Amino acid sequence: MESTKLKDVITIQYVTPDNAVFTEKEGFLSLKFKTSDGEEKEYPRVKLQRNFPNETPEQFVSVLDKEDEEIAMIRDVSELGDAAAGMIRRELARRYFVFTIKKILYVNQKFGYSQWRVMTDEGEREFTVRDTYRNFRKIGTDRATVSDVDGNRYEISSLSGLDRASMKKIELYI
Amino acid sequence: MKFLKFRKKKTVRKAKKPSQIIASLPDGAFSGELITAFSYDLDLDGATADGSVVITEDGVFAFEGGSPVRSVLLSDADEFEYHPLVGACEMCAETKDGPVVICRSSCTNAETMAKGVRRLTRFRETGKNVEADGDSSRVCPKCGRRLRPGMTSCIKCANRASLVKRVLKLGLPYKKWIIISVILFFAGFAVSLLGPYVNRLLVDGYIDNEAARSSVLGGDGGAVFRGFLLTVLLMAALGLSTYLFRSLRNLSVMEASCGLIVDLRRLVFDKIEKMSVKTLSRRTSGELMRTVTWDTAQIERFITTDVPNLIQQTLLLVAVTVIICLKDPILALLIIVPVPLGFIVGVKVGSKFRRMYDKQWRAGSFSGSVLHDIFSGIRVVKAYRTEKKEEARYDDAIVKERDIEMKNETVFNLIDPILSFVLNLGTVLLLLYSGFKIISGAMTLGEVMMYTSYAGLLYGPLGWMTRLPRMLSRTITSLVKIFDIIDETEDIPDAEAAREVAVRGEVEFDNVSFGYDEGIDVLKGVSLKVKPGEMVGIVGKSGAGKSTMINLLMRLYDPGGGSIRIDGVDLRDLSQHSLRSQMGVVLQETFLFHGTVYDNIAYASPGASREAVITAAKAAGAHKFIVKLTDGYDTVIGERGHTLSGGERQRVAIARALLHDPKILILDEATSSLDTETEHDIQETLARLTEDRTTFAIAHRLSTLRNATFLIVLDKGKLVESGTHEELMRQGGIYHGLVMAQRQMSRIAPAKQN
Repeated sequence: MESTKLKDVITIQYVTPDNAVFTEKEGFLSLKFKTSDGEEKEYPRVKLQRNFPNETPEQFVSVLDKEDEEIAMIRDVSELGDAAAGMIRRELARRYFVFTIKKILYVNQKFGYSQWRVMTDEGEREFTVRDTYRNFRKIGTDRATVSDVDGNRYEISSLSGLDRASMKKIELYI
Repeated sequence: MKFLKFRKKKTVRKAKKPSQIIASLPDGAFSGELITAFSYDLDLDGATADGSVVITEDGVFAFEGGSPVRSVLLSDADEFEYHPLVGACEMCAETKDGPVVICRSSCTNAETMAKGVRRLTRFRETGKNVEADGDSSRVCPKCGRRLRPGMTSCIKCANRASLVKRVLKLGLPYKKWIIISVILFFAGFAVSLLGPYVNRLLVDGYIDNEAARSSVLGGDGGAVFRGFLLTVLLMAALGLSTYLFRSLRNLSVMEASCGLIVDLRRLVFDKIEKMSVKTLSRRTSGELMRTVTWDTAQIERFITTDVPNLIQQTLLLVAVTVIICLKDPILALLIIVPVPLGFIVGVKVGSKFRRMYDKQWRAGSFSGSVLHDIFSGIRVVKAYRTEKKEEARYDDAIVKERDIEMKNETVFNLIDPILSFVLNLGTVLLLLYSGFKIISGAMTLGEVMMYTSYAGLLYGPLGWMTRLPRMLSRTITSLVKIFDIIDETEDIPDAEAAREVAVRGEVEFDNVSFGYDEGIDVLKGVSLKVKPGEMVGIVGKSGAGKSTMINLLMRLYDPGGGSIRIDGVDLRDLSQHSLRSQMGVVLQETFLFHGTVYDNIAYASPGASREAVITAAKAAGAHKFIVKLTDGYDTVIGERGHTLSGGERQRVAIARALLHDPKILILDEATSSLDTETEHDIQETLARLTEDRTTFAIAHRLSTLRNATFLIVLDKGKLVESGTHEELMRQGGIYHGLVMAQRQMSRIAPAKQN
């Protein structure tokens, strides 16, 4: 007898161009969604949640309702057609707010905290990091993120692309 | 220099006060009495913006760059919400026409936004515009910089001198020993200064002395040899007394430091124990442990070793410099000239070495934690046959550690000799200079040897001083941490006239709201009245706020809104000791301390009779398994003791709660790990026990609550249903659904056994 596979029992409900219509409102997304049993439901506001925010930020993105229950999952944003993909990418950018570090001007470790002064795509920022070794995270081989005491996030998208002076300042944490 | 200037130019980020925000807006930009205001820094598309929100009794108004962008009238909105995003946050409203995003901001403004929303919600609930509990903004009074969570004082503004003064006061009881140690040090030092001098006498008077040699050769050696022997003996005596003084000094330092470390640990530990759960949960237990052990040790070392050292080494430096100067100023100059150079190089290289070894230490601790991880999960490793994978993981870690170590050692061994050379450059100059003088007959060999020894004495304190900046910064770090704990104000204080009362057991929740984090309420306006002797069953999904209710009832936290009363008295007016002594609590996580079964049951009532403990154990159904243990009630349990199963631990915890006959009994999933039969037995006992005691019981297994006088159902922090089992079943709401679901489950269970 053929044994039952896990995937025969559990199915992941994916968002497709056929079952979902996203609309962009002022600063958020709403969704009209048809479930597999043909039931159509409207969600005035949905929340996007990346399941692999570091590894695949555009794949396996959950669409949640107001109560944080999953409505369906986006397998790959690019599968949804240009218009919807654009809306989703904009919504993701709103929900996941990251400063991109271009240059590190100053890092000083003091009293268990470190003070940073960096150049980001949003201009110069100064922030404080608690327990730097834990809050500076290397992702893969060439990326890194820093979270400051307030909860803001900063990303270095390419460590090897940093200038030497910047690199020297963060060497210790890598 | 340019870099230094740049560092000075610091933008201090100040949290804007509502009044400042209002002042920056045009007149008549909003209407209604002001409730609060805050700034935000992103527009709805996530680009940076200079925005502000004004909340009034009419509505919420958002402005960007001074001009209005959005507004929601209070009358149009069902609810205002604060949502944390990733690296950002937003304020939203639920209106008749659907959701509206009012503003969005980076986390920099998260706290003020959350507080603003909370304040608005409280206003809408109560009609009063008050700062919610714990609302006092955590901003440094000096510089206006926002304080980090868990910090009461701003590190930047901490006055180091006053900190040091305060810490030195802690050392006062031991000043006798510290002073003695300094005196002994100088006694030893004086002796060691004599060393080179006697050495010179020895060399110049006997070893390298033509006159002495000729008198010995002339057969008249007796006096010379006697003098020689005496000098050698003197040297030996000097050496011996140096050791003696050193030992005595170490002993007196020991006397001070051993006493002081106990004092410090006692001080910090007592303070930590007095902290509220809310304050404690802002710190990890690892952090607290480090403060009690490591930080106190740093302070102790600072007081007993570093401060005396600072005095000693400075005086030493001055003394030796003066001595050499008096003897030969040119020589002194030669010795001292390379000193600043050596000092600068020493500090620079020192910080480089520190970074290097820091990295190595981290790699070492990483490979240690990998090992710990693997060993803790060794059963899983074996079960999935992943030994090879783990081997590779550990191998990676140790190879990395080795590479760093090898690199460090290479760098160290290249730089260190050069550094020593620079530091000792003075000695070379000295030899050069004195060599010429010997050749020209202006100086004796003994004198040269003496100067060399003095120069050596000089480099000791210098080397020590290059380590000074690092040592001071380490001490200040520890100081700030320790005073942060010592200065923490009690946030759940007993009222001034806290009442000691014998509780009857009437409990009332009056419109209670509470959230652990700013802006996110876990309980929303819960009201409930319980008469003495009643048993309340609390039902709801995980995260609905059940345990939170219990935490508030125990006054581990104070409610953000509303009040909780026992026998008509607000919890805040009761003494916490009298309150908790009349409560028996079995928490979700049963914790057993290291000790015997007896110790654990009698934990809150030390000295309880053996009979009382056995009775409580019987009531909790624990006696049954305890008699089977080899050592009975004397069996050692807890972390390093005999392992009890989950159900057994729970029964010990129940016995602990029952032992002192509490007036209010709290059972938070107290019987969840028990088999149904045992649970049933305990239920029966409890039912008889609960006659004159108020009981709060939380359970997922609804049959546990069958004896409850009435049940309440919580859903997302709101009390949605309440009544007896029958009433709720008739209502056909959430409770009904839960009961049906569980019946379904129990019907399937026996069918599967066949």
